[in-house]
Amino acid sequence: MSSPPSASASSSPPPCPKKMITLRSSDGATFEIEETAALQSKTLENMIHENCASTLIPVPNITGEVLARVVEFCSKHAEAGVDDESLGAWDEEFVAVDHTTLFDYIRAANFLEIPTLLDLGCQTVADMIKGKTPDEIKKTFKITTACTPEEEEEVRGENQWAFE
Amino acid sequence: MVNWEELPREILEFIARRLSIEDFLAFRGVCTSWRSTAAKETYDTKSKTPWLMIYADNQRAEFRSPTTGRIYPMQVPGSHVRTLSAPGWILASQGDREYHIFNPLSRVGIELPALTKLRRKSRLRVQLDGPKRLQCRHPRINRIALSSGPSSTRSYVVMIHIHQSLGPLGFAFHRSGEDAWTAVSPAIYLRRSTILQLIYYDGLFVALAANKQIMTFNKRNHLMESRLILGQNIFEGHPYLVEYSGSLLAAWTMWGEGNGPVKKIRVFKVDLEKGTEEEVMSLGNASLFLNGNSSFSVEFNAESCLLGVKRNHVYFIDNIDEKKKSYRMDNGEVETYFDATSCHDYAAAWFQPDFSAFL
Repeated sequence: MSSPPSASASSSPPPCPKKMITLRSSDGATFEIEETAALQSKTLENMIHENCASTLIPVPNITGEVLARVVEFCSKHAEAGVDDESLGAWDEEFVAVDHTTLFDYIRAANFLEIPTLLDLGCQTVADMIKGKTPDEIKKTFKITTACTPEEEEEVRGENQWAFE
Repeated sequence: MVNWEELPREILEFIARRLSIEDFLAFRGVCTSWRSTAAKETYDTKSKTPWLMIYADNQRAEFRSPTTGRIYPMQVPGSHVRTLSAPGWILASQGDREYHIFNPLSRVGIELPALTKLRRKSRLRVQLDGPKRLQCRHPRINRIALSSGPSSTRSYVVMIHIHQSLGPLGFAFHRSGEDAWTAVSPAIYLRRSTILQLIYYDGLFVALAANKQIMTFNKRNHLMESRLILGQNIFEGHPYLVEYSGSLLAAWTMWGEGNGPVKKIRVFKVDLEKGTEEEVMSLGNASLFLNGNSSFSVEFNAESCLLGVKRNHVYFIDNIDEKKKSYRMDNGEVETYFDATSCHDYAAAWFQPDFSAFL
């Protein structure tokens, strides 16, 4: 079913709400997602427009486990009639996961260019950093490298005002 | 096992941009790769919850960070302190002499020329015949504005309005690197007018006089030019000039009956080109912070870190009861934001900390 052509020449046809796209993860699992939900990803949007005949899109960088959740996120955010408060609560639950999973979400959001998921992921990390000293941050994120001695000296200078 | 040190640069940048100043500095101290993605210049103080300067005396100022609740005492070069429109900078003076522009976080300071070094440039003559000392007794800075924060790559201009023991003297300006002030010739009818506000907006120094006249400084002929007269309908309020989303606003805090605490705030968008003003009923995704010398706006977006600040509010300091309050634009509700009645009332001001100060 296609909508009538619009008077002005537009490069992309309006999405048909029920059209399903299939995504295939790096480990071969497939997931169905509505086209409107998929358009939340700029990467997928480009692929859909370039590859209009086929409805199977390979997503080689993302495992099935993570892709399933990303599909869930996009579908939820494409839903009509969800108020800001309940969506916010849903988002909060979505990112209440272990660090490994959060890291995967952020990387997937970056690769697929999903601004809402990237914002959510980065804000969650920012909240984890809040109020911590550099050492505490390193512990939280299990970071083993450090600043060079010159940098450490600069860090001390930058933070002096807080310890006057 | 994930390696957070090896997150792509752009993601680390995204994360760093969302941090308050304390957290941003902690982020910079984690490791070399994180540090390299959080350059000082990327810290955008305009999108963060402002601090409150709650005390200034004895060459010391105290700032309260609302996000952590911590109070930071800092040494400053003077006991009288005012915030400036250039974020991160204050004006400190010791007894109306020795004015310094100072950044309390980076501790970079610039001494301004003495007010007695005041040159008058005649409009009619091209050549100065030596600096002419103006007769003035006990000159002091009444209002001050900077074209930008001092930095090693940019020159800046400081404009001031001077008062002396006999009353308002006039405007003067100083360019970075010069060793004296140059007087601005005011229009005759402005000579004795008290200047209530002086800000830098859209490449212009804009002043508001007590007679509600708005003037701008003409760089070419060094004159203050009148643009419009404000607030014809407002009689009992104090005006503040503030930039908001590229526009110039005049916000009036109106006190209650019998000079009681502020009960209403009205905001007008000023069009300097057309010489008109139009009332603004909503600030949308932004809020205003009003200071006697330097007001500013903050905008809510994906990267802002504005904990404790609500959108479409005006934050101000009520001089009647010394409380820091917020005014809700959509329903006129006034709430106390911070009650520190022990503050020196002239010291209380909203402050946007910034450490990227180079000389």
